[in-house]
Amino acid sequence: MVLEVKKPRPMWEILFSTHHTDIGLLYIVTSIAFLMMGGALALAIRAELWLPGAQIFQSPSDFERFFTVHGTTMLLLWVIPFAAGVGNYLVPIMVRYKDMAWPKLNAVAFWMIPVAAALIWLGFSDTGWTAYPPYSIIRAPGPAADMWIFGAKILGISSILGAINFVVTILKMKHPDLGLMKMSLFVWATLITSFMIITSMPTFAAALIMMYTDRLGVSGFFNPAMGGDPIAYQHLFWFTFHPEVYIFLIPGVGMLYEMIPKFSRKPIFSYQSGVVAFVLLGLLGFASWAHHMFATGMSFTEKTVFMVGTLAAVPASSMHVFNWIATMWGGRIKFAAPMLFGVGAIMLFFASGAGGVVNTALPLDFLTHDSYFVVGHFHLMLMGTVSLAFTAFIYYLFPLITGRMYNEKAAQIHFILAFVGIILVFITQHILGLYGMPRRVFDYLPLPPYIIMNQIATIGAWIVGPSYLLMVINLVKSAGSGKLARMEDPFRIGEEYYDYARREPHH
Amino acid sequence: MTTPDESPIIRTSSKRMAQGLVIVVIVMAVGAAIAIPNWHNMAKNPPPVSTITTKPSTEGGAATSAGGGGAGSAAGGSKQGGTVAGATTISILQGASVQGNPAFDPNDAKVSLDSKVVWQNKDTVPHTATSGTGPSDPNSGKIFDTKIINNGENSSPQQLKGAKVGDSIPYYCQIHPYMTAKLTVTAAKASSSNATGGAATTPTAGGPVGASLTIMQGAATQGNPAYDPATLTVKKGDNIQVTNKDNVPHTVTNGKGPDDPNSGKLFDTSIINGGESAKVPTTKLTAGEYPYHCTIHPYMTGTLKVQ
Repeated sequence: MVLEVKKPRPMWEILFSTHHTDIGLLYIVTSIAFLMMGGALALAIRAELWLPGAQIFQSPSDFERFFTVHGTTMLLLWVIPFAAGVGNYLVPIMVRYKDMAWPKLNAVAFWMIPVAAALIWLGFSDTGWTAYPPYSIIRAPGPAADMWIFGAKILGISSILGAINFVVTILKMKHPDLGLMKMSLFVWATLITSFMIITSMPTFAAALIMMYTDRLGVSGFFNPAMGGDPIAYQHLFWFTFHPEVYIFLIPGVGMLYEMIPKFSRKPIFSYQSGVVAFVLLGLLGFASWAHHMFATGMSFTEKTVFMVGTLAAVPASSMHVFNWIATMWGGRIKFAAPMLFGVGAIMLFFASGAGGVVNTALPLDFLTHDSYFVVGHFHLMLMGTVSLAFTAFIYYLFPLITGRMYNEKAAQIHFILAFVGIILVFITQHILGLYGMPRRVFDYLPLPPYIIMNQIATIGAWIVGPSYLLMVINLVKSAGSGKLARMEDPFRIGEEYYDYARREPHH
Repeated sequence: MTTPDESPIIRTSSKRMAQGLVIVVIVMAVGAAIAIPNWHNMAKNPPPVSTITTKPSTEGGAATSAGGGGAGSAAGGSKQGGTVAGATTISILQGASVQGNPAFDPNDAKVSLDSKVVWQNKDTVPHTATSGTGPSDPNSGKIFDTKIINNGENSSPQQLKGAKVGDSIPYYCQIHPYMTAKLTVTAAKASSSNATGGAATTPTAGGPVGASLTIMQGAATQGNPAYDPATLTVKKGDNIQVTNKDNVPHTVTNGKGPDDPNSGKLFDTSIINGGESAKVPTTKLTAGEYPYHCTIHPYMTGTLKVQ
């Protein structure tokens, strides 16, 4: 399972290692485990919505606890750790340094994740992953909600420590001969992401502490009964979590930049525009947070500012899409599994981006607000774009990590099932939202369109779930007994792969 | 810097892969063994702040000091209010500034024609009580207008200008226009009730208590049982003792829901604060079935059978 340069080591040596590849591997394995666990919750949620009325949950509060932990797990325990894991694995190799700048800090950042995950998963809070007050303050039952607050807090600290490590590794430890504009675009993606984490995360960390003291009753920041303002929490929350959307997305974009030129057998169409688009997204991510709050009664001027700020991110995202398409254009494309997932991610990025433009347009937002349209939109972004790009990279990195090849046929079946399933679930949810189905509901009106569309979505989810199980079985089996990979070019595309021998020995 | 790796690439084996999987599965199994038996224990304690803020909602002016400054000054204010002879006191409830919370108590006060009205602001932010249906009403403030009542203070006693017996006067808060209520003007009485809550619709006199109805703890959460028993059978003439065992206010109001045109016409306890009780007389009701609900939480419903 594990790469080692000299000889196989016992499992505990990998667990307590500070070497960047070991920690990267731990991050990746942990995040895939949480992807499967969070996915299991999603399947339960979809099974509940198969028909109106209670299906498998005893009470609405059980349903709420499920979707809270599903959201928290997918965002904070799958997407962010996976991006950090791949960054750990590749960034030191790409900037030609022997390890991360602070290996022990790196290990600390990783080992905070299991602690935080234990808090979140043992508690199963019911606040929703956004934990809006006043519910989260005056009503949400403890200790689950308190455990959630501390779990999210620890995850925030972990990602800040990881981000600091990346910034220092990239800017101070890169090889002197390697200029900034010569770095791989994946390194650029990690650098921009890390800066965004450092800038945005402290706000959420502060909001969590304010929320906890509010729950104790010693302060009233967000408690209207004590003169506080619940809307203030939403501002603090979205100041972190709108940039966080780009923190989820940008590593996926960087990974696509790694794969698309290789499988198209062409150089990147425009490296500079990729860098510019990363920097633009990193800045504009901070100019759009209040578009999540158009319905909270802001003034027209504020709403317009945030609408324009959000729309300004569209050209930057389109630059990436254009770059990929222009790279693929006229190339001799090899549709191995990573490329299939990559192209699928680009297609769904376009679809989810179009939904985002609908959401940010002020008059249309009021129609879709708090409906399943929003659920469909952000799931299409996170599952259809980010997770598909990440899945592509799991397959792409597999020979580097294990020295073996995965089963290509199973991977292609995985792609077809996942792609079809994702479209069935999330595009249907867009339409469901336009029919007026509210989000976060346990029960819904027994109208025929609602029932049919919910059942299509449930079938889609139950296609995606097993397809990812197929991936895990494929990876586990191939890591132990797969075909040996030709390390200089495992995908046989005649392009350079990561230099296996360049990895520094353990120290 | 490239370090050549002389040794061949060493790959993992199925055995070591299985070892790694066993570690992951054991960790998850231990977690599940802790989490699943404690599923309900993990979400049963209300946050500490909720036990602080629900205490002051005891009877009328005799608020306990547990609510800190706001409730304390409200208690002081009620004494002041009591000195105004012949005035009816209406409370502006704590938390009224949040849309959807109950605003005025009682919501439909009976005021005798010769009586003045004092509003007691028990909330933590300023409010007004201004006649009219809302800020766009052209007659807003013509009958009475308290101007701003600061938190914890009482309004000056308001005379109802030009009101007639039987008038129903809607009023609202100019700062929070969604806070609305109404006044009903009754005939002048020599012994007008001047006590706090004297305007409450709940009759305190007469009639044996024939049946009891309990509002269950947690009833405010949709899906929880609301009223116990859900179908109550009483004899005509009995008084029903309604006890609110929940920690938030509720009502028992006839009708299937707030949209019912007859809602509240036959019986209505008005707001019963957490831990308090009220009586519903059945002398006026004819035999039959009456659905009732809670005006604050319309999903709380029950049925009353009168024999």
